[in-house]
Amino acid sequence: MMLRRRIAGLVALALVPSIAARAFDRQQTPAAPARLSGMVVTTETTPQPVRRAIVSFSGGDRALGHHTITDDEGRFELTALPAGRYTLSAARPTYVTITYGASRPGRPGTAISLEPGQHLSAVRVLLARGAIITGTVRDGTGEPVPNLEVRVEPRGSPAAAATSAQTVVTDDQGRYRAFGLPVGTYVVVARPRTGTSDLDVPTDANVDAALAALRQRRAVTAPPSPVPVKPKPATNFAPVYHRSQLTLDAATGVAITAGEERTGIDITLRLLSTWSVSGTVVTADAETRSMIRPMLTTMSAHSAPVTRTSDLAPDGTFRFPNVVPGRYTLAVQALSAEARRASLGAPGAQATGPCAFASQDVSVTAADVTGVSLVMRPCLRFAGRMVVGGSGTAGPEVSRLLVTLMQLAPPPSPVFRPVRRAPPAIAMDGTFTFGEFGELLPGAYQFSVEVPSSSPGRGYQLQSAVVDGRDILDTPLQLTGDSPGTTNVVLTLSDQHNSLSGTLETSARLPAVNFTVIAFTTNRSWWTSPFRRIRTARPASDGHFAFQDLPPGEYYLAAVTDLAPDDVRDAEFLAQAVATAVRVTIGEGEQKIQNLRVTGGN
Amino acid sequence: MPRDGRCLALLGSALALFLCVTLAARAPQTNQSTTSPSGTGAISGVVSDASTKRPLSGVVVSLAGGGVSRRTISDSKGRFVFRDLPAYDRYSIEASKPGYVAGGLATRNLFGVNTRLPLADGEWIPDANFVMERLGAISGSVVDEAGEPVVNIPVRVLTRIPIAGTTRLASGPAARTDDRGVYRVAGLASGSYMVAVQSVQSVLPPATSAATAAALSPMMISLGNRQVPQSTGLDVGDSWLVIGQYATPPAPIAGQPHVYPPVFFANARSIANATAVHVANGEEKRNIDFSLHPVRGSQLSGRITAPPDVLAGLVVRLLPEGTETLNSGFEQATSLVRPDGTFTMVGVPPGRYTVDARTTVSGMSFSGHVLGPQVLTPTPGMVSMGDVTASFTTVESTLGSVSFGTRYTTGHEAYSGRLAVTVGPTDVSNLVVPMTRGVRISGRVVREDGAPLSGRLTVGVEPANGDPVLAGPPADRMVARNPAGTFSIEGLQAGAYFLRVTPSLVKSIVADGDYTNRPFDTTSGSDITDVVITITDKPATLSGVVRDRQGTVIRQGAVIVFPVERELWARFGVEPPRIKMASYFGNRGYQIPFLPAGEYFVIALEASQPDAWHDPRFFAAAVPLATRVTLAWGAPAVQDLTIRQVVIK
Repeated sequence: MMLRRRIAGLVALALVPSIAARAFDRQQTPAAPARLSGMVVTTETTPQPVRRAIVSFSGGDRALGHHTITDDEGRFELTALPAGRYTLSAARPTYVTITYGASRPGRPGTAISLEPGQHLSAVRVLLARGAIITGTVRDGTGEPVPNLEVRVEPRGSPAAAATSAQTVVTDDQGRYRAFGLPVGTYVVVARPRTGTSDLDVPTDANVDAALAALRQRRAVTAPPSPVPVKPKPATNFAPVYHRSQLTLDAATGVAITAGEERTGIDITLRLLSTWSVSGTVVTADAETRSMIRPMLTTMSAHSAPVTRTSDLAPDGTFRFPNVVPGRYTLAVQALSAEARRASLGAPGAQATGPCAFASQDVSVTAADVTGVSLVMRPCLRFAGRMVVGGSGTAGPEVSRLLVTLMQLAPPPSPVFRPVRRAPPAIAMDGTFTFGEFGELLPGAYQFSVEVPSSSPGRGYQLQSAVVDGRDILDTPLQLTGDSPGTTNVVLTLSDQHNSLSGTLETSARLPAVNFTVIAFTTNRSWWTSPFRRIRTARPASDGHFAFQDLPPGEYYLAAVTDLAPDDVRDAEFLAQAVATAVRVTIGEGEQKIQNLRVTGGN
Repeated sequence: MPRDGRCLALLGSALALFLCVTLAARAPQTNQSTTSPSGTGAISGVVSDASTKRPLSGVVVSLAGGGVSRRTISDSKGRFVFRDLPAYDRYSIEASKPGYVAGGLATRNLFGVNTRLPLADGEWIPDANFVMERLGAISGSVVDEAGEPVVNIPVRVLTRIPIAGTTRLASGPAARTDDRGVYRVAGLASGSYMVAVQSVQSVLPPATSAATAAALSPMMISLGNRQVPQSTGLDVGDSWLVIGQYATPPAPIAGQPHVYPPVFFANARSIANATAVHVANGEEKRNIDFSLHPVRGSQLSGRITAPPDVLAGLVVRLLPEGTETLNSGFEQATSLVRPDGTFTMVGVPPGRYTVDARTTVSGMSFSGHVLGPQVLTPTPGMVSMGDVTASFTTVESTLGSVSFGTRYTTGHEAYSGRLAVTVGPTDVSNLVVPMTRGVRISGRVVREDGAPLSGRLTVGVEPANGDPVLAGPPADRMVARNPAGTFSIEGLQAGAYFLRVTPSLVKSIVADGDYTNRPFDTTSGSDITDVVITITDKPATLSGVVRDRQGTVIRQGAVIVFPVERELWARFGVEPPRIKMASYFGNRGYQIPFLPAGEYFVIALEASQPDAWHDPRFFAAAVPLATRVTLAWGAPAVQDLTIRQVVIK
């Protein structure tokens, strides 16, 4: 891979930092408030002030941060600031935010270390003028298509897509307009809503013939006989990329410069041949069959899943007509009536009674998919209990915790999505169950827990999620259709916090503010999603960096310039970084200081 | 599908998403057959444009019923044909084309009965013709006091909707301004609209943790990747004023916030002074422009009195006078109440308001015909996990879907309180807003024949005066599961309510008196118990054919039936069982299948006049032209009619 960035050689330093940085102490009694003032300007060669920009100064001890609005000359001032380390940025619609100290949008900035009573003035915060991509979506006959989702997404970077992709909707004249886009190359895709029943597209001649046949029939007194239905090719709309391409690889990228308005990025929808998906649900009893409605759900890394349903015939067969080529999950659930009501949030309803499901992934290419056999199995369950570990004092009220079970989205997306269901009722004794509504399908799962009034370094957090002696926070648990799931999940909360901090200095013993420090586990098998043991930290203006609440274990520390968000998810990149990295081990509750110096240039 | 449309729907909590998915899966419209039935019937027609009278091509015509689900597209002459159809007595047929009002034949029905097409074996209906009205749009731009475009703020249209013999303000579709400050609200049927630019001043106590702020601020509800984007706000005294979701105001001057007040076209500060924008068929009203100017806002503070568990997480709302019936999203200001019940609102421009504290927030809205994403973010604090958003009633109309939305948190008792307040140039303090517990109506449902209840049965309430604010509590859907047939509806505010049972027909409602045709009054605040609702499976039915004065059968039109009692011509609730409009198609004429026995007037109107009865003067004007009929339980009545024209003077 091409590296534009530089991975620095590092040496570990003794405990005492050699740069004259005053250690910032959280417990220090609040002294005279600090002040910060400056100006928000554009990144242009002749910077222009930006009025009505919202300036955000985040960090310190205040959860909500400090914010203000620039005046007509782009100036701002924040007063009464407690000392601390803050990140600074500005935002205004149509502009792209660049965090103070960052090289470009989407990159971490340099935190500002503010001392008691300090007045930091003439700070310049940058906003880049956003670019605009606009165009019209038409159907095959040239008619504009209104109310259609158009996604404008940076090409090739899942991380960039997560932050700067936009989904806009065409207006009644088929026009869309995405603005405030960072510089880059974009793919534009229109996503038609596909009708679920066959759409007949007759020609005038077809209509003439049909009406003539009806008139003739009316003239004849004999009882009419059914006209044989002749099969016709079914068609439907499929997602289309700019320049009418059907795949991401074939799509033409749209490269835009800062502040550019790119017009005419038009898309023509294409009618595709569609196919049917049919098969049988294998289940014993007729009563269960009567409750089942097969569901066909799209699998796409980039868009929300769309589900269609079909009736199940008394003989257990089903058929989805008019399916656009693509990947789908076919699933059925059979719930007791009581559980069904509970799944709808009916007060007092309990998820009791039998629960069964079946699922299968289906790929539709250029032919009908037939003979899919769905064998009903007992519902997968994910049950367990919550344990409050750590100091155990003043633990959180278990019933107020929000436990979320996340499922890995279809590859290539590394994103976990919450399983859709009613907010999980976690019992007073800390037990919980997922899957009682048949909502779990085979796949990779992971947990998260939200603890009210907790934040990194403070309060209680999920420390481990252990199933059969294995922590699934590092390696998501794979549920297969053959397994009944698991009922012995132990989620442990802890208020033991560790920190790994230090200063990063240049070989000239100055704060190395242009680097990002990466902490990544030495265990290469964890260099995959969910990337729990890979973190980055940008040193503040005094060179100080800190990692809060790293899972205990051994880590590499590396320093890199101009780190792109996707780099740390790239095992190859991490392998290169190992060569110059420093090893460090952090334990539970440990407050570790590891100062670093960049060797060589800079 | 007025009755069928009564279902839960909409909005953004994880639970609600789940509800949507599940219910969409069950909606009868999405039914699909594994094998499509075939027969010898046929339906054909021509689609034309209402204003140009020319045929319309490219219209998707959908036919459903009896296991059939088909779609075709009209040809260059506007023609469409469905052949090989099985006999079925209730086909529904709809036409849709972008830019046109979608709907069924003669579908101008608000709270009425849709046209159903009966088709016999071998029959060909050759004249299932559609006349489609083009949709209009309202567009313009929004600039601030410096003449700069205001970007990415919602602009919303409003209209008055006839209901219960009066009209009520409802919020409609919204659009966001683009980078040029330009907005465009499309998908509007012909009518009169108000246009508004809002700016909700939401306050959180500064002690609010980031997690709470995240949960309370819609900008940060990102369920997907668990990102926590930053919420932004200004310190104003002891309060934290959320900014960044509407037009960004100037920084506070000398500690005083300056805010953009809500503006109604043309730059009016109140709905009463708004200029209505009339949109004709297919018309685009351009240059509906706004110029925003900040004003100094006052501070308003006080205390809500209610039990502690009601105060927990409560958001108090400040509603500009005249906009009380709108859903959340139209507040002037909101404030998260502190645990001791005190609250502070900042940035309140002078004007007359209602302070509104309630656990169940309701309002009325209409969708328009371009169903885009919800461009109006919910008011900060008004959405939290665990909330349930339900459509109390949804009906299809020329305005799109009209729904009475309600949002509540399960497991909470409903409390509400309001206080009118006038805000001048100085701060208002020491307001006291007591919240009172809602009234409960309970009783049981029995069958006339004494047999046990079966099937799905829902008991609900409708405010007699149609005030959507009163349409709060969810219906009790569990009645039939209960062998005793008992029901209980909690959280009713002071007002008059009709009890309704779906899908059954009510024969009588008795408590301390006869409430069959009379609403319950909850203003005393005491619970109403021991209500006995008797349902029957022997409805009266009314049918017949409609002819013109020459005696020729009219194949398409509307029939309205209404009770003879004058006191039932107003304040009749949302879906009155004894007032029905039925549009019809075909030689068999009209059919109204589901009526209580009683004395009625019935009148036939042209297909273009089906919602004339929403005018409160309609009934009195119709009586001299109408036919009086007596309907008995379980007895089909036949009454042929002559078409009339009701002129309301």
